[in-house]
Parts: sequence; structure tokens; C-alpha cells
Amino acid sequence: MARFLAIHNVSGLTQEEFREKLSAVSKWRPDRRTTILKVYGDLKRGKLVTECEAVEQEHFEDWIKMTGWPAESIFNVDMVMQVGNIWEL
Amino acid sequence: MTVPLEDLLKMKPEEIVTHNERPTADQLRNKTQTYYEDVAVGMELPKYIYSPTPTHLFRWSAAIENFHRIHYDLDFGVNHDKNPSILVHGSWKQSVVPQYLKDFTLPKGWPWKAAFEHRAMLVPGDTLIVWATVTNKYEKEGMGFIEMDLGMKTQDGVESMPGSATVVLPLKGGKDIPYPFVPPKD
Repeated sequence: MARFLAIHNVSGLTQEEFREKLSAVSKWRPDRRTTILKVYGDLKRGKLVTECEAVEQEHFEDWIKMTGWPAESIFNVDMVMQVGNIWEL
Repeated sequence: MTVPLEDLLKMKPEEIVTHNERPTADQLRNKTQTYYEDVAVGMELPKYIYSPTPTHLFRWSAAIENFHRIHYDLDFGVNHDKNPSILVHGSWKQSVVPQYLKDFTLPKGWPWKAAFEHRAMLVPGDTLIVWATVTNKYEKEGMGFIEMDLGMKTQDGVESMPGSATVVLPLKGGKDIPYPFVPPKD
């Protein structure tokens, strides 16, 4: 599995739409090879950052198409620091 | 009448949970016996629906003193083991099967044997359907034997625990099932 990060442009997205897009397991884990771990939103400025664990980037892109949040860029994450814990992915 | 598994899997999770047939302690204490004659091949047993949360997983870890971090430490589970979330314990799934069979056979029948595999990772947020379908029945030494396929499906229809079991039910007007249960000789 690999870790990906994407930055999305989603102007006009409301909190209700955000919830509706993500509020069931099938929406953040559409299949057994793709899991959306976290989504950060700055809805006022129309920006999202999504973090995904997937076998291949293509699987993450499938989720992006399904959700309808176009990504301006996608990154492959190889290091993470989380509250002092450092993980090499 | 239990909702067929096929129909449950067409529902959304919030509707699936409304069909939970897991009995209360009072219902179990006052349960009417299911007899061998009441069971037909192809019959579906009641469905138990579970919606595990991180709190449930933490409680199970503490109760059985299994402190593997993949079950309660999201940071570790996701970043170290590359799991999709914290994971539902296999031991909890194992505990569900004998409970399910015991509930079905109470008060005078007994589960005899069960076998199953762990196949899919389950995470908080999943809606889990415990199911069983009768595949065979036969009488031996005055007792009724019921064979079944069973499992635990997610809301998406992924089978996480395919297995089978045999339980023993009394015959109407027949003898009590002895305890401890001694399997008949072939």
C-alpha cells in the first residue's frame, strides 16, 4: 500500500455537501484497496487536502472521480510526523 | 420472520441496523425452544447486526488483555501496519459465533461444532451482519442435527468470516440433549 495526498479546488462546497460526500464507509472506503484517511477543508477558500492509503495512485484517482472533487495535484507521501511520532511509509 | 440476507444487502447501513434480531437477556431467559422439526433446509437464521465503534474495540482489548496497538492506536495502525483504520478483533468475531449458535439452540439444544476463517479487515463504521443458512438436517440417537453455513458480512456484501456449524436440537416429544454433549458415534 502507498500513501497519497491531494489538493483539491472545490469552490462553493458547503458543510452539508462535505458531510454528504463522506458520511458512510462506502464513501471513504469505496473498496478494499482504497481508504481515505483524512480530509482537511478550507471551505471558505474552496480548498481541500485529502490523504489516502491505496495500492496504486490510480485507485485514489478513481475515488476522486467518484467524489467529484478535482485534484490540482497529487503527491506520494513517504514520511509522516504526527504529534512527535515519525513514520517512514 | 427474518429478512433475507440478500434483501438486507440492498439496504443502506442505517436501514440494515433496524433489522437487528439480537435478543435481549430477558428474551433469552424466556425463549421458546426451537425443535428439530421447526427447521428446514434453506431456512435463514435471525440476523445479528453489529456496528463496532472505537469504544467497543478499546473495551474488547481491555477485557481480553490484548494490547496489540492495531486495535486502538489509529496512528500506529495506519502508519506502521498500513491498515485502513483500527481493526476489529478476530477474537471478538470468534466470540460472536458461539453466542449466535447458543442463542439459537437455547434452552435445551447445544451448539456442537463450528469452523470459520478470518478473511477481511473490519473497521469502525462498518455495519456487520451475522447470518446463517441451514444446509442439512438429520436425526441420530434421538437427537436432531442441524448443519449450516454462516458468516459475517459487511454492508457492502464482503464476507469476512465464511464458515459452517452443526448444532443439536431436541425432537418434539424426544429426549433432552445430554450435557455435556457427547457426539454420536458414526
